[in-house]
Parts: sequence; C-alpha cells; structure tokens
Amino acid sequence: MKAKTGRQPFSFFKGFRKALPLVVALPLLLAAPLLGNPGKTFKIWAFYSYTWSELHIVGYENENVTVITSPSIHFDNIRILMDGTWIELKSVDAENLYLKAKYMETDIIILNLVPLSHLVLNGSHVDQGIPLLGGLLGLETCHTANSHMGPPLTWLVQMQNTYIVAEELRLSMKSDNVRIHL
Amino acid sequence: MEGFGKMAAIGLASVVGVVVLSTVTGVGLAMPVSDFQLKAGSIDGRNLNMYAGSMDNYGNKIFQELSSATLSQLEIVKEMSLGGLTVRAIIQSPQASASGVLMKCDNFKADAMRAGNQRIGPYGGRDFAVTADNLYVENVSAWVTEMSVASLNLGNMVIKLES
Repeated sequence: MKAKTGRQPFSFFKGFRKALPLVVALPLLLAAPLLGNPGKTFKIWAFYSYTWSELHIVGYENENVTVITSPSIHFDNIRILMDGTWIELKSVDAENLYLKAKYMETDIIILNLVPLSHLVLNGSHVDQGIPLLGGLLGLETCHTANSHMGPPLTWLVQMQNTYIVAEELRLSMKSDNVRIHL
Repeated sequence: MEGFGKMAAIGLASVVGVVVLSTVTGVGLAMPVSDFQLKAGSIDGRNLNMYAGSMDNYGNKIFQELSSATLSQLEIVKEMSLGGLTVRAIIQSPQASASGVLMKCDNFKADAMRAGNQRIGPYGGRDFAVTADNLYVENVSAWVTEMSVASLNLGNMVIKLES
C-alpha cells in the first residue's frame, strides 16, 4: 500500500479555477488605460420637469455622453450634488439648457399621448427606450441616442423622477428658494 | 454698587465696540473676518465663481467669489459671549457695494435667484465649480466663516448691540 504524502496530484481544472479571476481581470487591467479617464461627474435629481419648447436628446460623438439641450425648460425640486456640496432649487425656469450626461434615468411623457415610459440612457446608449415613439425619436432600446435618427422630442415633454450623472451643465436660470449647503 | 455697574457697562461697551470696529474695518481693509451671519435683501453680483473646498485643503467650506456686488439691506450679525453674557453686534447698511468679494461659508439660502450664463462643471481651473456672468439673489441668509473684500462702501451704516 502506498503511503499518503499529503500532496494532491496536479489537476488542470482546479488550477484553472484558481487562476480564473486573474484571467478575467488581466485583460480589463490592460485595457483600462485605453478606456480613457472616466471624468469628474456630479449628480442631479429633479422631481418634475416640463418644456413647452424643444427637448433634444443627442448622442455625443464619443458615445460616452448624451447631450441634452432645450431652449426653455422648467424644473421643480432640483438637487445637485457637486463635490460634497448640495445645491437645492425649488422651482427653476431655465433657458438655453445644455447638459452633458454620462447616465440618465427618467420617467417621460410626450405630448400627453405617449404613456409614461421609463427611459434609461447609459453614455449615448439607450438601455431602456420609449415604446411606440422610440424608433421615430431615436430612443429605442439597444440603439444610440442620436439627433440624426429622428426629430427632437418637442412640445409638452414631461419628465418625472429624473436622475442624471452629469459632466457639465450650462443654462441661464431663475429660481425660488435656493439653498446651498455641505 | 452703582459705580461698579457703570464700570462694567463701559467695559462691556468697549469690548463690543472693538469687536464691531474690527469687523467693519477688517472687511474694509480686505482682512478676513470670521464667523458671522450675513443677511441681505438682495445681492447683485458679477462674475460668480463658486466651489467647494476639500476637507484637507480648505476646511470643507463653500467658497463664493464675486468680482463686484451691490447689496441692499445688508445685515451682519456677530454673536459673542462676554463673561457668560451673550451679546449680538449688528451692523446694518441699506445700500452697500463691494468689489473682489471672497466669502467662505457653511450654508447659503436665498428666496429667489437669477443667474446669467450659469455653468456647472470643470470651470475656473477646478474640477467642479459653478460660474455665472451675473448673479442676483433675494432675501439671502448665510453663515459665513470667513469673508474678505478688496473694497467696501457701506452707505448709512448703523451699528447696534443686542443682549
């Protein structure tokens, strides 16, 4: 009878299982510098917003950002978290809105006709789109938000419970009840 | 006893007077003045640059810079504790103007706000900043931990003490 030495015979599958995390992680680690700097972002929450004017949701050229523009738009109860500072605005009338969003999630109603749809934009990719009108507006699931694909969302666009991870926001605005705190 | 009361009153008034004067002249001479409540009926400012100081760099405060500002119904309230007695020194001016304003505060409240060409993002050499060409705010209340101005013009200034 052969004495047991305590040493297990080499098993390829066991070894592969141990090395699997490294096999998965290595290409990601190597590719990370090529993905570029994710960039500094700030977060925006808006309870309710609407526009009587145009709302453009435009895929940005680098595919990591969606640009949202509107000549005139109203927001209720906005909170912006930027570098540990909260900016809270109760009622905002904004003009010349230009927003670069890395991620956006909102419930959207168009023209009071399309039922409430949950829209999720990840980079310029539409993770969850607008049924019925999505194809026409270029906001169909698994597509890229792109102004060339369709007309802007226009007239009577409402958004509720909006959450945005933004890179940049530009606008002219007036608001009631402003609070800035840490 | 009466004499002691008079002396105490004179002593208290002197201390408070020094604090109030140092506050006013400090602001006027661009020296930082700390820990007071600022109220204003309105502030009309130019070239806003607002940013947050990081915990290790600037004590985690909100920084607001304005190249110039016109303030109405300005009120600066500074609370002091003198021998167990809490005294509030109040400086009021119905119309004030300032240039080169830097305000470091914990919070900032306003009933209304207008901003022209406001931008939020990587501006003013910082990763995160709020900038605007012009800023108008109404019924402002802010807890200011430090403030300095390059020049200050206080019209019809009133200083009073409350205990």
